[in-house]
Amino acid sequence: MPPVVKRGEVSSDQVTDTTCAYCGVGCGIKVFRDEAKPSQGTERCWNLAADTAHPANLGRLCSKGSALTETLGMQGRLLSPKIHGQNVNWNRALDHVAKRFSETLKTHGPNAVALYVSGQLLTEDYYVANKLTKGFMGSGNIDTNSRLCMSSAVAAHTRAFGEDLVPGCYQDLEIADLVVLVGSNTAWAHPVVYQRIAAAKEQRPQMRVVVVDPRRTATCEIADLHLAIEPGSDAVLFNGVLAALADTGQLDDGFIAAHTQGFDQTLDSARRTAPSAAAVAALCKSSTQDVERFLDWFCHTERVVTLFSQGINQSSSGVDKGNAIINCHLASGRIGKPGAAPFSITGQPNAMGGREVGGLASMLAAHMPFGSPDDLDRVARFWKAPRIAAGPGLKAVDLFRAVHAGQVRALWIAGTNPAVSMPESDFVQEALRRCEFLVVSECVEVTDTSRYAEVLLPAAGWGEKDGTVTNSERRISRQRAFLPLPGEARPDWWMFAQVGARLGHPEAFDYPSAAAVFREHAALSGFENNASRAFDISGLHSISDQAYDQLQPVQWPVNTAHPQGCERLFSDGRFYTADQRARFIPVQPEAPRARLDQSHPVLLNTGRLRDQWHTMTRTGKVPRLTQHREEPELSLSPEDADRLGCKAGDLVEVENERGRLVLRLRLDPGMQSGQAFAPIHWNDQYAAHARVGQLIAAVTDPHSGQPEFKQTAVRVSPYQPAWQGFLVTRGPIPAPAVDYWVRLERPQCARFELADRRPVQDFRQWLLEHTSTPLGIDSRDATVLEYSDTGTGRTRLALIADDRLQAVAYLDPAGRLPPRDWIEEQFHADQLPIEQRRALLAGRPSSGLQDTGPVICSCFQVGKHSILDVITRQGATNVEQIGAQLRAGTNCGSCIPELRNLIVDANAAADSTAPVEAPAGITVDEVSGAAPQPTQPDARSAVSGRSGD
Amino acid sequence: MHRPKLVIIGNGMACCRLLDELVQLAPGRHDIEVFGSEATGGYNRILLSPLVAGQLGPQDIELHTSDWYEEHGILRHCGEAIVEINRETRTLTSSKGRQVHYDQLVVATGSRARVPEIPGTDLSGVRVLRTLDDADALIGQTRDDSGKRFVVAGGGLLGLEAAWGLRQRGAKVTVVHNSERLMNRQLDHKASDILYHQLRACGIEFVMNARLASLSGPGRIESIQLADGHKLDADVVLFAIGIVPETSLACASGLDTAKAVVVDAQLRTSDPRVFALGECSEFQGQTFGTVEPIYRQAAVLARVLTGDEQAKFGLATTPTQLKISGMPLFSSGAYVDDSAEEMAYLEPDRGTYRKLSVRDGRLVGVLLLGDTSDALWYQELIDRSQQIDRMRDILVFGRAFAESAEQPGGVPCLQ
Repeated sequence: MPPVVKRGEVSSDQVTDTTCAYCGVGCGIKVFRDEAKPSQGTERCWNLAADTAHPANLGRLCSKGSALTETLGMQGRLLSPKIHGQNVNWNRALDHVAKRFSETLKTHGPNAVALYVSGQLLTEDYYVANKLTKGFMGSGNIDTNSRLCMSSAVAAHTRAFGEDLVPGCYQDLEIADLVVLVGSNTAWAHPVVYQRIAAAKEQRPQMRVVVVDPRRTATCEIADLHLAIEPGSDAVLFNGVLAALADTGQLDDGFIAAHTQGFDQTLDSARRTAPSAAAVAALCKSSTQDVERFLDWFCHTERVVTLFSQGINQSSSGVDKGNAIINCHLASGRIGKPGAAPFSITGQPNAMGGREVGGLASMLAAHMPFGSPDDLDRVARFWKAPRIAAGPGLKAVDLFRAVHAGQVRALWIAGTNPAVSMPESDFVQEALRRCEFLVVSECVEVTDTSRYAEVLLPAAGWGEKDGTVTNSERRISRQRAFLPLPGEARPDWWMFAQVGARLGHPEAFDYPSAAAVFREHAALSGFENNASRAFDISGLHSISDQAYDQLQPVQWPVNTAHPQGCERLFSDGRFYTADQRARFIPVQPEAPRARLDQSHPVLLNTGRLRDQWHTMTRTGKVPRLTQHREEPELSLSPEDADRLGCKAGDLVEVENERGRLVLRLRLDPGMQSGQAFAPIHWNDQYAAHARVGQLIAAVTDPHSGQPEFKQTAVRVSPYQPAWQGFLVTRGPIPAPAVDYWVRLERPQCARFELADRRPVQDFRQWLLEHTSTPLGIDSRDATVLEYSDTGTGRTRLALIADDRLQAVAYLDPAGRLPPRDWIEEQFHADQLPIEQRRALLAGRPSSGLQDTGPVICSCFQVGKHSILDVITRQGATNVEQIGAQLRAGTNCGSCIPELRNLIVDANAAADSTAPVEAPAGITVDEVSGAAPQPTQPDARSAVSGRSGD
Repeated sequence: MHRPKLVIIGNGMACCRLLDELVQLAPGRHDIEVFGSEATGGYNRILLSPLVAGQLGPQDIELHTSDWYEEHGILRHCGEAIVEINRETRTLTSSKGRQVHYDQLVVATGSRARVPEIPGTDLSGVRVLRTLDDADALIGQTRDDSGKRFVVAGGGLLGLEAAWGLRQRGAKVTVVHNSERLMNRQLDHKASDILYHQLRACGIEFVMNARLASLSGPGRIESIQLADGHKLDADVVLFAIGIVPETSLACASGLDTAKAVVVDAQLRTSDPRVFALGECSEFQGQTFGTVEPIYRQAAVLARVLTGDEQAKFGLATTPTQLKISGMPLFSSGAYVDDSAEEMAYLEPDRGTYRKLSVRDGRLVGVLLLGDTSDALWYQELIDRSQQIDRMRDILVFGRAFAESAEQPGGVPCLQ
């Protein structure tokens, strides 16, 4: 459990209330200076606690959020603007960006420029970016990584409700009697929401949880029923629910009649495609009994929340799937009521904020779509925009296709890493390489995307920037800065505004602060609204800077009707279509596009892990977060692994026509046979061949443009390396050019897990080549300790310079390798004691056998301490007595002179009652004797015994 | 009462050990008489190099004092060699013309240093290191201030120990060795390399892969010629290229000899009243140059002489140890064996090297340089022919690691 700061424990001026940088739950946290923490760098002196008062989390935090202050280190940060890799000042960088965009606009028109932004930008950043692109460059081409995440939910909401609206709130999940989790590993992707559901279920055991997911995930631990349906068959299931609602008389006829349209065709379509539980079970490849039970529960429970996420959205028919779910809630009238709603949960901290400003190619602004001349006119007037974009721009996949084709020539990417996260990411990387002018604004200097940029702009990161975010339940919270801006880093909104001004519109982009941006955003939401748009925060349009600073979390709308915000939408049955009626959407279930065949017999699913976030630029730096899953793994069912002839921990190749990955095999009994799962996080900065987007086809939903990340046909085969191993270095080194490497940041060191098919002739040479230059070691001054075994092919090496351990490598053809933790701990010490060397290469502490001292009698290996013991304690007075006790001196006799000396000196010492010391003149090598081992358990606890975790 | 007359020819380490065993086992059983050609009594020949080095004095290496001989009623003749054995009459003739009868005879004549058959070995300044006299002469030559140049021929165990001893006296020493590796019979490439660098660091110079062709005078040695034509200035040349069993007396008396005096498991020669042991003996085609098997011979022979016909000598794995301070070396068994699997551990900066040879999952050889602290443990594993697979990945790191893995809760070994 994360620490919880209760009010009054720490005085408020020491604490900054802010929100978490990660998922769409939007947890409140309190950050404070922790003087007790050893201050080695920025991250050390800050600590955080869950905010007990924030409505999103009420004192809960997950593992990623708890480690946020550990990500504040400056290692790898981009701290200055750069053009072609050279540091430049902001003026020069901004002038250059403005000039190139302006030239491109002039020569090739507005369709030749684009922005590709991020659900991790703050609303203020998003607002200025959208205004700049659509209002002042005249281009619809601003899209966002939210396209990859929840754009299908946006489209489904818009089709059903007339506007992109999430009806319910988190509390609905706690008061529902049935929570259906569809395509969501909530336990890992939205841990705090999961904890809230689990806690509610604990309190009210009659509450039921159903998980619909082809995988048996961690989320299933609280499930009363897990429907492991055929991947992509969700629409069949929910069409089945709709038909069952009708068949069991559970329709809310009054609601349907009064507030909806299109029910009859929709029910027809549902009945045609999912006529019975048996039919659903057959199509979803589930047991009829399970399906019947689910239908029964759904039909006969009033308070139902259906929470859906990427399993629904990331699909070539994701919008239809979303509508299939919404249809069920509309038909049963379970919407806008406590404990009853369809609930799309977002992946990113501010995907919702992006949707609100309209920072998507398919939206205009402030929940106004393209396609209405009135809206265009309204926004143009509000912005005083000289040339507003006439129509929608290119959605992510099409945008990068246009970049590839040379149609989009100037591209600004902000706070996202499409070279990793996009499908067909090799194609995307090629597009970035080809792009005439690429600007990347980022916190991190080196990402798979930034390496293609002409201009790099240093962005402020979490803890440095100020603004607002909106979470999955429409709750606007302040994200507050508690750190100064490092180096030349600036907020993203400032950069967009600076370029806007340089494009000739200084007055339109004259924002003194984030608060000023927010006021304009709030004003636009209410501009000529007249209750026509649910997104209305006009109640905040004149918020003072001070009030903005103190803004408490609030759920929109915030307007005259709802001055304190609003928990639930649609309670009045009013929707935001022209006739104010919700729309039923007939859904014809579609199978995923991926086609399995003989050469691609495995269906690959993708998703998040518990402790990693997106492309690891932040979480990859936190040692304790990498411990959950250290390496990129492919999960297979144990039976499938058996069939491949592989066991857990083996390497496998995962291939299709788009690319090839090499991943570590994980056996997961929760996987269905014929299916595989790989995490989305690893990329070229952290692994050799683990960028899963490489394999995924850029197949998208026709309505939302969201790619189908969840179903990809692949071939899995064993990867047989000539050798495997790991390399730990004190400082950073470039990745070795091998087939398999994974980089792990560890305390005081970094580790590479390695494997390759090509044998290495001389690992000692290999180690020196890969480490000495980057670690700044002259190999002539270095010593390489070496252990080798020709029988097993095992090699272990330690590079030491100035008695300091610099690097170790453990290599083994069969991958039998010692535990890493203890070895990494050896880097915590400044010096490697001589007597610790063997332990290091052994990969373990020794037992610390009684130290017998330097060897005196080499025939019988009798140490000096043993001999002195016989003399002083047992009173031996001659060599023969020593020999009788210890055998020393009884064979070759070479040591007899030394034995005599020991007797003489020990007696002399005893006479003077001085402590026993080594007699002078002894020529035995003192160093070669076994020395005592340091007490390891103490050393370990000193390192890991951090308080408060 | 008649006590059998036991005569021992030679007063070296084998003889002294045999006497130790006899006085322990059956004091007064024999009427013992010992003849030694050296002027002094028996001493520990192994320690001649530390003596040359100045680490020990002659009294430190003496094995038994004259009082000890007297105390045990053993008649000893120093500086008096036996020149003839008449086995028919069981009579011996000494260099002083003394005639002695024996009931049982032990030949313990040891060995002499091998000197190659090349021109110039008769020059003054050509030396070996087998006796106290040799050692005294060498030490004498390091004492004058003329900066004499010493060449040690032979980079084996004895040559390196001698070179190191001379170097400790401040002498300029060059070792000429006929292989590319030092101690090529005992060490593998890596260990040789480490030893080479450590001895170089001590100030000893080396000419490797070289054969002596001739020594040049006149009278006193001035230089040596190598087979490849190179010439080295030298004032003293010390041959340490091996030993030759001293069998001339035994041969002349008609005892069976091959490489040395052939004995059976009771150390009996072809004449049942005559025994042999030590460097002059040969058992199952094997001769001996290290102390450990010879001491076992002495123990067996003592039992045989006291009537224990069950006593039997057998060959065993014999470790080698180098007597150079700060460079402990231990090797045993088949440590240079291309057909075996090798485990090695190297700390180049400290000159620490360990190599284990494994065949069929059993330890068959060990080589330890720089740190011999686990030597006996390895020897035990070799002797017991124990399966080591269970501790294979930590075996080379020593007993402390192997035992920690066996302890409850210990990190198990990788298989």
